[in-house]
Amino acid sequence: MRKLVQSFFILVALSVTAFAQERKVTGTVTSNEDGSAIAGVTVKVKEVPNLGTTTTADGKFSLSVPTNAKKLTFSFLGFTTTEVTITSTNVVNVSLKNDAQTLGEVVVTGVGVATSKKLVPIEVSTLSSKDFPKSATTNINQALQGQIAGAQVIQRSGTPGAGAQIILRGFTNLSGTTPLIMIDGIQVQSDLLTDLDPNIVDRIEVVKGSAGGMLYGAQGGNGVIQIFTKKGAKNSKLTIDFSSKYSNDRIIALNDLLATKHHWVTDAAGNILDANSKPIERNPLTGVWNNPTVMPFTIDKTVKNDKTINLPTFDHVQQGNRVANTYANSLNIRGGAERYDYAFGTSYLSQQDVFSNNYSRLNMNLNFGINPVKGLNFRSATQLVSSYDDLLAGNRFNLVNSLQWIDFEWKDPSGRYVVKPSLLTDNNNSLSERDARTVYNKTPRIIQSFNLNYKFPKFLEFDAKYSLDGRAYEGQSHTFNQVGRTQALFWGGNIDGSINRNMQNFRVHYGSASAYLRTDFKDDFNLNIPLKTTTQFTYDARQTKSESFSLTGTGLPAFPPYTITSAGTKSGSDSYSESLVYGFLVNQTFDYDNLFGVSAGFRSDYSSAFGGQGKAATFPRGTVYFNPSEFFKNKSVITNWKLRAAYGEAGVQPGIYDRQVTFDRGSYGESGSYLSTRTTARNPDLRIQTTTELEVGTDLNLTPSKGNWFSDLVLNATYWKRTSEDVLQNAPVAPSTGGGATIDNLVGLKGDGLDLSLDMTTYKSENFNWNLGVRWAKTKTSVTYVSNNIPITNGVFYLAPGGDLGALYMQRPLTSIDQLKPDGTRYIPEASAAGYTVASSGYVVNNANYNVVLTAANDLALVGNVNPDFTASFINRFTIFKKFTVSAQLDWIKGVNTYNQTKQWLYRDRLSTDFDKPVNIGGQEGAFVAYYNSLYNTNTPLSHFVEDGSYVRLRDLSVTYDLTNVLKQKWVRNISVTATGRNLATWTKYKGLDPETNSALTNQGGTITGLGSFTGVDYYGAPNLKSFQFSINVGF
Amino acid sequence: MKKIIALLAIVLLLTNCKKSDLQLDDPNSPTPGGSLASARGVEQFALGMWSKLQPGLNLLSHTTMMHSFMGDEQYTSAGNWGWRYVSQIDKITLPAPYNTVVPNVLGLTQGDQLKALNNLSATNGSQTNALVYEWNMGYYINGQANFLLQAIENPAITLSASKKATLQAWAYWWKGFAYSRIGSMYVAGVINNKTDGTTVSTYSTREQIIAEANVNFDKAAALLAPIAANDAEYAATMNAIIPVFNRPIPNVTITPQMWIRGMNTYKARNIMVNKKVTALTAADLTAIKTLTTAGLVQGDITFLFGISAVAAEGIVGNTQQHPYLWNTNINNAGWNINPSERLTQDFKDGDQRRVKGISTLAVPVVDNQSRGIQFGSRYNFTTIQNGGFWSSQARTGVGAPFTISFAGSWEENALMRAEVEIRSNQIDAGLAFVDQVRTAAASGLAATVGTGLNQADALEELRKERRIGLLLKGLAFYDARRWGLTEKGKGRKDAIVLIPNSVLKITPAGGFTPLPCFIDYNYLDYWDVPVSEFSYNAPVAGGPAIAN
Repeated sequence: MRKLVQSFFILVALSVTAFAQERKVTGTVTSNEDGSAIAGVTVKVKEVPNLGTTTTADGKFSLSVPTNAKKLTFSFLGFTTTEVTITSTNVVNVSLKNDAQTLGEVVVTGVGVATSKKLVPIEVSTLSSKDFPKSATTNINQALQGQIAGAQVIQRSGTPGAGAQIILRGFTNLSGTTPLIMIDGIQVQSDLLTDLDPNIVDRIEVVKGSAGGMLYGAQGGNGVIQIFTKKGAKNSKLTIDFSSKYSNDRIIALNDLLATKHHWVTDAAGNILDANSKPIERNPLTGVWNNPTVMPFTIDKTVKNDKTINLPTFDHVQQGNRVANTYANSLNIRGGAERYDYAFGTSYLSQQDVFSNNYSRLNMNLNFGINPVKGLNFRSATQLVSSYDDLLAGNRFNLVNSLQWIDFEWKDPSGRYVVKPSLLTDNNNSLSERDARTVYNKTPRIIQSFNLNYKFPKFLEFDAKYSLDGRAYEGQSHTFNQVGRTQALFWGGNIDGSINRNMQNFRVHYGSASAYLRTDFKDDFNLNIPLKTTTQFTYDARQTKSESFSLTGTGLPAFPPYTITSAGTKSGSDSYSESLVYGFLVNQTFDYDNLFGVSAGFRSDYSSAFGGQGKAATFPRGTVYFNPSEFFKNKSVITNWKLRAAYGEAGVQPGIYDRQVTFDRGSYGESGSYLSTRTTARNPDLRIQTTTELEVGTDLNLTPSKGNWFSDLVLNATYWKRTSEDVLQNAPVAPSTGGGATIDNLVGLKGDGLDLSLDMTTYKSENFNWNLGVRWAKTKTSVTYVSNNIPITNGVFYLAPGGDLGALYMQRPLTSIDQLKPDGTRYIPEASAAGYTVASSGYVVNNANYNVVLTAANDLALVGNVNPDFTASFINRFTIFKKFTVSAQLDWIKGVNTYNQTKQWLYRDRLSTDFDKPVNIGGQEGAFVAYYNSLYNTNTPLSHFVEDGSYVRLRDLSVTYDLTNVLKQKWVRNISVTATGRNLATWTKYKGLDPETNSALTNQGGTITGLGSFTGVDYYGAPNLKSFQFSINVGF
Repeated sequence: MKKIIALLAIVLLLTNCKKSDLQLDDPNSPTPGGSLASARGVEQFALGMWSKLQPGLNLLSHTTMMHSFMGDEQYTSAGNWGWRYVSQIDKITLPAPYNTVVPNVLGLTQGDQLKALNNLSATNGSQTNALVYEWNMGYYINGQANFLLQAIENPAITLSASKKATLQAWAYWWKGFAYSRIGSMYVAGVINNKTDGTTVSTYSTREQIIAEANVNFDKAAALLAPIAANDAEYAATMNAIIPVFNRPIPNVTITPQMWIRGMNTYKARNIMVNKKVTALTAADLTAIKTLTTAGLVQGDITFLFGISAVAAEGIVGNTQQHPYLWNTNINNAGWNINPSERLTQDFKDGDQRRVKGISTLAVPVVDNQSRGIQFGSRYNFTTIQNGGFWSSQARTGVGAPFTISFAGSWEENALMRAEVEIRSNQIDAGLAFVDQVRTAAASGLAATVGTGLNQADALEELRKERRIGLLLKGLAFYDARRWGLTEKGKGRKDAIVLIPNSVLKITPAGGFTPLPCFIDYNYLDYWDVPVSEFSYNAPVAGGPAIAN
């Protein structure tokens, strides 16, 4: 080895000294975008590639070149490599063009090694931090929304700290869509996107499918999102960036949900009466309203919702939500010298919740690299995240679903909110939690990685990584002892209070070791074949460990301090789990010049889910690309055109212990613990679930015109196709077996889709630039088989062979009097037909009681799908006088159905705004209560509540003014101020509060897992926020 | 360079895993092999029978409530778990001068409604298929009991004779209980003794299921018969498999003889509740008499369904998992689970159980949620904490009065004996049992023996006492069924219903009027097999009908 190194050095020395040093060329390299000096640019003599240098911190270089040398090449990541002829003055000043068109020239994710985008055979989408929407203040999900074709980032809740549902392309399994999240080459837990400060991110790479993701093993089947943090550069001077943002947030409430009229029994004066025929009133001590008496609409079909409420009414949604303030400050310092670089920083986010209290997050990061000897690089990256919140649960149900005259802010004589201001069903006061409970959650987290890399002068590179992602969660919930309150009802489950403490430790250890063998037939073997090869061998291992403890004490003393020790009764629980997956990857790549390349490889994984006797699961992969543009003589219009195809297989492991047959155990207190068979049986025969994906695509760079318009255009198009076999599902079994379900490889899936991405310089002139980005994607996933051939239903969702994921199957109102049942007989016998009418709504109504006639509960039909027909985004950026930038991002979700469960609950209580709307039934016009209430259908899914949830949202609108040249201060590198709005406007037909805020839930609000649906039910979610923001960025 | 290589090698070694590292066993849950290898493990598994009442929902609580709603002891208009559908009264006819017929608001009979909801969507999604809960309870119990029987026979463990017999009897008793519930509620069932996760596709008629229940009770009785009342091993085993919160206070062990008597009572119930009173033969009465004569007697301890003071350590995890906690408006305000007007009218004047157990609501509930005028009441249950009997506002205590005899009681046995005697025209002999129950309950009611009641009057006394004395013990629907109340057109006369004045078109407009109406319940006698069973266990051809 030493000899090899020595001989290499000798070779280099010889090659350098072989030329006479005849002239010295100097110059400065700057960015064509802002004229700033660029440090670290590689400057090489074209004729003597071994001869070169890099620019210093002020962008300067000095290089002695032989007289016969004619040209210098300048290359730097993120800029177009430029060739310049050496002039007689021996001064070469270069302005490098930012390589924005290709959004970063080199990609890493999914290809194993840093590869020029030109040669990448899979679709790797890149988002550079400078393209982040300015309103991406709190987390990275906000930055990703709408930016990448085929990546649906759905912010399902406006609660601070809430994660997003990320769906890359379609669905590979039924239980989750979360992609593998990596940061700087290491794997971390998926919620990092919520935990990281966007200011430290340099760029994000997204690989959307297993064709690329399989490089990361079984966990890459849902795609990969990799974050690259900003690093210092060697030989760069110290830079300081400071950013401060203020955001003013309020909930999006697009529609009023409650009726303005009523149908209670009233006296002559219009007072609403109770069952004792007295006007309803609020008990001045307890704050509870008497129940009003309802008009007998089930018996008298003519009862209308048309009476004026003669009591003051309150907008509960507004009572429960405030205008909140968010502050985010971030300081980052970077720099480097000859043998090291560093970057460190800190940020603090302080976010008020619109409903309650606060969320805060402190981030610190330290990243340094050292280069002790040539070829050897060591890097350490540390992320410290500490989040803290005291957010209340905030039952939003009652913020929407409460009688109009209830004032949530009213307090009883003791100064407390009323827990249950009305004894009609539900009608709790969401605000009463505020004087009955305190909560805190704190999660310190560390992500530490070490990377050691050694590049031999030739052929070989070794790379080793180790990382730890660890967190220690601690939370407490304290419900006060409420004995003695004037109200009979109290908040929570125990009037004498309870305290719960919960602690969790979670750690992921990740290690990998890679060896790369590279050959260049031209340079290494002196063969006149422009062939380069890369052989990769990687071994990696992931270990997760999780433990949790929970303690609850109920029956608290009457005075503080409130501790579990002092509680009357105590209970506790604990849980541990551990998993290990390790495997190796072998991959071989051949690149023939820039013309074409192929790669093939496989990955084998061992998993603890299969125990010590398990066999490795092996997944092959392969890619190919071809650049026809290499044949083009004239590249003035088509600068680059690539065709590519990739195939990959990936797997999903069963749950850690799903193959181990064990008993459930619990405890009956002093009677000891008990054992029982599991209601959902584990299955020792479980197999790994596999997904195969084929993607074909093209990347096209055009320069259609030399004029102002359409000077640059980049188009990426990818068609993909997937199949999943042995998808894990809980297979229902007959209860007479003694259980309810067995975990099984029950389902097969297939899906395909198209991702299109277009970036262009629409107009370019000295003082005005217009850049446009368009993202468009379409996807559909359907069920190929359910092995027991029995459709699986839950909530509004339905999985049946041949059906699509996200399909809504449900009862429907009859729309014709002669409508038939599945067995071919009429719903309404011909003889009875005269008793029915088709109302103005199109629904068949029974004349006797004005009830809408519904299809039978066993006659369900497809009525929509919660997955969109397509998603699209339009990202415009206008730069005026190089100082003034206006950008706007519009996100468009089209053809999505949403089940408005919130509305259905409001139909139960006959409070929906729909009840105000007249309907015509057989010539009778009126807001008939019986008609609307019959659609409630005991919350059983009914097509009436399926709405078009399509929307166009003005995701980001921002104006940035660059003050750098205005202030003209030497010590300021750059300074800009930005005014931003997020989610300022939404165009939709949807009748709920926010079409984006929905989830996959049952009609009772329970989470549905294992049905391949993740969105689509509007169930009193916390709506997204509309924000007005102001920020300042200063660089020194 | 050597250092670098060494470093790389170290990293490689650090990340190097062996296949044996992959053997990571579930640290939270015991394996069958590991846990059932000792007598203590088998006992803990036997204790786990109780957990089968509560896989998520407390099925015993929920089914007890459902029987109570159908038996018109109490009401709820909530549709959760199909409750409003099981008590979907067909029509209510108002008395003269109104004579109005008020049909149910959904326009379907209870039977048609239950059939319509017997589909997978309603079962898994909206959870409105009422048919699944009692079925699941029966078969989850049966599955665990089968496993227990297998575990007891494990040659690797040694059990003393009386412990082994006790544990086997325990398993057979639960199987008997499960099949009794299935056979008394569904038109057909499945007899399954397997432990391998499979089942039997040949369904059995409900009569065969009841016979199987009795066979299991007999096996249990045969095992218990040789055990002496003071057998210490037996007592220790019983204490290990019955949790504290389900024991009587003070803790008196159910002796083998009491247990056998309890099974005789249950076998008598199995005959009685599965026959219409009009179809009871002399042979039936004789059989019931024989069994009840050997049945529970006053002072016997039976199996109980109690409330653990610590929610996390019982089978009653929250206030909706025990009937007494369910039906307090304090715990579950808004659900409006109140005693039915029809129950309240069945108390005799002066009955202290009425005085102490039923309170008057400040504002009555009328036509709750507009789901039917049967859903309304002027009353609620007085909580035990306030001197009542059938409702608890807090999980404050164990033992009586917080426990429910869910599988037979001496009172039920006495009233069965009363019924046999009265129906055999031994009026006073029968009434003596009625009086015995009333006296024991401190009802304060005058004795009926010797008052010269005729058979019809005596049966009315018996009917009322079964309503009150066995309230919330899961018998109300069985009684309504066998007395014919649930048959189409038969129903109940002079049943008090709170009629909104707005329906009567009288003033005060917001008020209501209690009127004696005719209620035509028109309920299914026996339920169809739930869809969750036959979808995954298709019946073989030639078997009995699995639906009405």
